[in-house]
Amino acid sequence: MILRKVIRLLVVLGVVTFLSYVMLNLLPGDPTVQILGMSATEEAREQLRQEMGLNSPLFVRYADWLGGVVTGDLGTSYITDIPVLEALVDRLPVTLELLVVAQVISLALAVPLAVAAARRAGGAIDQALTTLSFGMLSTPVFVLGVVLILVFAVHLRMLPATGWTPISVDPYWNFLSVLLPSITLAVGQLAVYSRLLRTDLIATLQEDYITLARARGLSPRRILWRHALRPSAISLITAIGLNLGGLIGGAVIIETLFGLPGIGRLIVDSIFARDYLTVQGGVVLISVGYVLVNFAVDLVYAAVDPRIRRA
Amino acid sequence: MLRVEDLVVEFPAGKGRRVHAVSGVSFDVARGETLGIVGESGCGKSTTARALMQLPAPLSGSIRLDGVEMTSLRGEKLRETRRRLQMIFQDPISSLNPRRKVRDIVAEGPRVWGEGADRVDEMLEAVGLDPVTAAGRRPHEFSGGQCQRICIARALVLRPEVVICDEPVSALDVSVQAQILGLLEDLKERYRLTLVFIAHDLAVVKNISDRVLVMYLGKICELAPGETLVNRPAHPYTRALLASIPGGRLALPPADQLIKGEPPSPVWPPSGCRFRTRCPKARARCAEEEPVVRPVADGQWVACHFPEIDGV
Ligand SMILES: Nc1ncnc2c1ncn2[C@@H]1O[C@H](COP(=O)(O)OP(=O)(O)O)[C@@H](O)[C@H]1O
Ligand SMILES: [Mg+2]
Repeated sequence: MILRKVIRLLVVLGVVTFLSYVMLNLLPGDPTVQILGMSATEEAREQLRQEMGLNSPLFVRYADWLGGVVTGDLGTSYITDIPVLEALVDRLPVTLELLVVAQVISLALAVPLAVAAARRAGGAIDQALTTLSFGMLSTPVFVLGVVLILVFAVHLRMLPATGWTPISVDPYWNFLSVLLPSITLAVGQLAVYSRLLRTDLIATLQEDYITLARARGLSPRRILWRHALRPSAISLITAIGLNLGGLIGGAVIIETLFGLPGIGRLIVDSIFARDYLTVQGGVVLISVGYVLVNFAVDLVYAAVDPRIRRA
Repeated sequence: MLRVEDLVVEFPAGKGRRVHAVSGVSFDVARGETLGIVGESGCGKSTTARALMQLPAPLSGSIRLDGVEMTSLRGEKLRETRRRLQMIFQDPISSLNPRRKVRDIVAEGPRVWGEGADRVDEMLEAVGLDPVTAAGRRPHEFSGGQCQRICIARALVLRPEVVICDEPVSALDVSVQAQILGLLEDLKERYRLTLVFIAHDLAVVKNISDRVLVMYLGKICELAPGETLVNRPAHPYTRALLASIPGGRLALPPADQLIKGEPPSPVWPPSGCRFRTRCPKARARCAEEEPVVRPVADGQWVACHFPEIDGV
């Protein structure tokens, strides 16, 4: 199983990086202009192109780059002169913290809400939650983000509007600066998570072993939390996995809105700067992250339902 | 000890329609007795069984356990009374939480009642499982028959007085069926249980039941001691069920002459006698007037306008 996963990882990496390599080369614009400025002579630019290997065929360049990646060398940006790996390592903690805090917030709310709704399907709590989650789902993140900034930062002055304080500098300010962006991210997830879990919980509660647990006199609370929750978590885990995988790169909007120096911002900035090497490095990182999350999700499945391990 | 009167259970079937799953069923079960309930699938046997436990509670009717009206109990009282009845379901695999170990499955009941787990090993042994090897494993490592043994142990460890077995062997291989039936009879003796034994197959029920209740489309057709039912069936539906068992002692016509067509939908049950649409003896009166359950012989009760009282 591990071997299959590793092969899958390699295939995904190969395909994704090649495609992004091709697409980057389709972008209009000339990196030498970015590096040397508009006033540079055509000769000087031609020389730089030679040095950067921009004149060799696309496939050769890709193979060259891939050879470096395999040996752990992601290259050094021509634009900023910073090693790509260093730039990524510098930015990664911001994005990871954002994702983790957003997951914690959305799960901490989604699970109790789903349990409360499933307890009486069609009841008042259930209907309120349904309405609420459609509202949350249909609010675009940038609108929500702006509203949250206006309310909590501009009017109430409780939280910083934008910017980032690393945890190593000041944990308290770090927490404050991650709070608004992660709440913004968490709202949409909360809606999806609570809906999925509610539906699966209601299905699980129909199972014979739940009826029998009630017959034995177990309390509704014990039945919900101890017997029904875990077997109902499969869709939820799948959704968390997809979210985490997709959001490593997809946090761009949030990072831009709140001025967070994360991976998403790095990649977008690098695209505009024609900093191809950094973009490619980011793509590698995202794909590795995606596959690792997938791997973790499979492990969690097996922990949730022991029958899956045999399949 | 258990008295059921005029039990009615309905389910919503969309667009304001209702499934008439159980419509006015009454019977009682004496202490130490085994009452069999038969009828083709969909006739409301499981619904009746679950209504006895208030899972879910019936729409109307009365269920009294030693005189205590269960339908009006709530909260802690209901929990305590319900515990005296336990159930065993048809599908032993889905009756067990797949994630839990056998010991935890059996021990959880006593634990939530604050009784400790000292009877768990005894119970596993009583159902024919070796506590040393079995207790640490999970349900999916066992066969269907063994899972049913686990279910029985889990029910009996709570010292119930009545055990409701809803088709406990229908999902099992024929060779295993006899073992489980034998086990249930042994345990009944040993723990002085009262059994309600449900099956869609009269052949399974008639041997282990003292009395048998025949149901059709949510109603009672006939209630009689097992011997009487087999030798002198009075309701046309009972005769049809008996005719479909190979090796019957009665010279009955083939089953397809005693019953015709498919069962009607419980959403629109027929007027009058619910069996009349399939009954070879149906007349005009059967559509107009619903037959009441009435005694026709010693201990034999029938709901039919034209019962076969002389046996054939
Ligand atoms: N939860 C439910 N919701 C709706 N209809 C149900 C439900 N449970 C049972 N029924 C219906 O009630 C009728 C009786 O079902 P059941 O008691 O399971 O029959 P049996 O156990 O005799 O096979 C069937 O028509 C069935 O479709
Ligand atoms: Mg049934």
